[in-house]
Amino acid sequence: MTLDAIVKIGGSILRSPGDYVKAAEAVREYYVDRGARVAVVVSAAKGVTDLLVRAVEGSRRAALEVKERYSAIARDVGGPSLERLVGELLGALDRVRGRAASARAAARILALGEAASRAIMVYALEAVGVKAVGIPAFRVVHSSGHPLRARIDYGRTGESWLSVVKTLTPSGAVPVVEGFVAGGCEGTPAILGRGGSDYTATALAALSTAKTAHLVTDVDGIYTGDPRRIPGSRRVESMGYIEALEAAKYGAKKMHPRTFEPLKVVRPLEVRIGSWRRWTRVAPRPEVRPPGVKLVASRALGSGTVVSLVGSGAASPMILSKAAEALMEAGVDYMTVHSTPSKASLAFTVNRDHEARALEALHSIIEEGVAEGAGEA
Amino acid sequence: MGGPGDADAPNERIVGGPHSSPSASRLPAPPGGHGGSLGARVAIVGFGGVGRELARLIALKAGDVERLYGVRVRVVAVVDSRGAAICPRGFEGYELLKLAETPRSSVSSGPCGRPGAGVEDVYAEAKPEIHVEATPSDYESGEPGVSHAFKALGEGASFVTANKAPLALRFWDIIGEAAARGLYVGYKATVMAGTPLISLLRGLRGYELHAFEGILNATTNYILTLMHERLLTMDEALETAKAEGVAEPDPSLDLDGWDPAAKLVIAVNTLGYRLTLREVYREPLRARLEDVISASRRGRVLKYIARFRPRDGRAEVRLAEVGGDSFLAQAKGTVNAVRVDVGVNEVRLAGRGGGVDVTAHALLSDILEAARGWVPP
Repeated sequence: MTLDAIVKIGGSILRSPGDYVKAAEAVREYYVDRGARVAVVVSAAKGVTDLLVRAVEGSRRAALEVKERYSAIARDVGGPSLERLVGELLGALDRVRGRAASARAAARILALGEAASRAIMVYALEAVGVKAVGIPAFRVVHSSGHPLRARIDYGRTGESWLSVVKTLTPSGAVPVVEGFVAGGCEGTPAILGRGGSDYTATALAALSTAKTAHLVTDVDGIYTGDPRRIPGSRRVESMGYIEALEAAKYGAKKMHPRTFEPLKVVRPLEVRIGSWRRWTRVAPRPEVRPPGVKLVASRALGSGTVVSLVGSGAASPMILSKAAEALMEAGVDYMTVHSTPSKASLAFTVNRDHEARALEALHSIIEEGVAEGAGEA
Repeated sequence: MGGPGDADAPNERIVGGPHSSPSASRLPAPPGGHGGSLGARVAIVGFGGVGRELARLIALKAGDVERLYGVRVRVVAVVDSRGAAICPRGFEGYELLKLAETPRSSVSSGPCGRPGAGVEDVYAEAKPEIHVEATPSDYESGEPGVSHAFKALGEGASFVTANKAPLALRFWDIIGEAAARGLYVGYKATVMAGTPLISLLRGLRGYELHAFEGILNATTNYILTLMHERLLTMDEALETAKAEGVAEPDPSLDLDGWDPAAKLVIAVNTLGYRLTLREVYREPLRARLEDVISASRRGRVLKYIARFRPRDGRAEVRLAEVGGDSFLAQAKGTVNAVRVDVGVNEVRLAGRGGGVDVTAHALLSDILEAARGWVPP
């Protein structure tokens, strides 16, 4: 009646039929073969949610493309039986005739990508010898609020999730639940917002005995800067919840804003963000003393760009002084500077033409709290 | 049409099912005591949305149900249109969940699958004690539900149904057959599904019925609610209801009034009358937006109402205006509502009228009552 980990398989690593099998093999290699009791939360295949957004806006072509993509994946992974099952799950796409008539109708369409992905992942796991069973999210993840921005009801979800874990414990089967989707009012689907699979995973982890929630993606963790733009960027070993949220807010990582809410409201635990073998460990509080600066990030804001330093020490007078000096030396003028109540970030608004120079300048002052080699399988 | 005083009218008084003892049927089993539990061998016949949800519900709730009610529910067979899965020992929770994720009409591809097997094979091999009928309603022939009802009762199994057709067409034949054999007929799922109208009506026997009226169909009530609240035409409202999954792709049984008429027959017969489906005057729903607007201007609301008055024997399903402040006007969306005037009292009940989740719960409730040899009041 226990779970050791929740593994969330992100859409970034689900692009082809082979990717589903590879992900299933990784679940087996890194968890099941090591004796860990695990549950899987799965996202839609890469790009599917964008297509479904277009379908909600009335694009029959996008709806058809989702069906074709999933049909091909299902055929390869599980043969005609899975292809039929996935076709049934996506049946509502046949009736896309124009813009979705309501938020409930939109939620129903948007939920389909994850439901099909769940069915495929179950077959993939069984194909590599892992006993698995799909649990539709509406059956276990209960929510309240607007159907397109629902919030998880932890009380009701906890009871349902406990039933699932208890039922499957004797068989040793891995429960596979789709992320992003929940049961809304009157049995209709609701969705949790973009990035909602992370939120599903941390909620199901907090509501079980899991010690970790592993959010698996196509990069090895959260980096000190974007490696494509800042040479010398390194993976951040560990962060606190607040630091991770600030990093997401400033564009370092796409993450649902409520990802850490269940870990504060229900039960804290370790979150791993990264690939199967390497990750950034996110714990309730930063593990680096004294508080340091972990990374730089940027995101567009109007005609300018917000470049920011993130870390529990980012808003200290010393860092502010160093950052201002570095920017001045790099010839970057900033229009505003601000921090947040958490004091885990320091943000400068700069001219968009100065973004690259600003990022490099700020990255140069990161010295503490970064190490390679830790956070590996 | 017969009345409640008919000397030859059979009733539903059952004095214990074939697999329960009088003492066990009336007293809850000791909490946690397996030794005191009653066994309930269940066959689910019809494995669409409702049948699958019931399988999931039993898989996930079996432990709680045994602890709380002293009944060990075991599904021994599942049947669909092309075959069956038969397991005389009873399916494990994991196996039931696997069956629930097979493609439509391919339950025989799941655990203990038997392509081509049917109800006869199920009774020959698994000897179910409770037959759950979850096949679609056919109001012309009543099949396959009617044949299944008599087969089940003939085999000594109690009959629990979500399919309205058998009782809408052959109510007293089925109830009489069950009474003669000391078996239970459970049909809470047929009317207002998760809202226990049938239990309420059983409690009103002996009162003098003056009028029964209500909103008994979720789809048409949803359409009319959309017309009132968003000023949509009926076609637009129907399309919205379909897009949200509230209306079936083919909603003719709802729009032509068959569904509420069948429910009216079942409800009224529960009170002891002998109303047949043919005696119900049905006006298909054809609401015009200008009539909705006109009614709204006068502070009134259009509702699709099922009504029975014993005084003149009139039974009807038709569009009618009700006062904007009336009880029935307050039933919006997929909510159903019933008002029963019994002279010395007026009893009202409202709640969700459909959805696979609530329907499955109503079936489980009937399974428990059948297993415990419940005696209707």
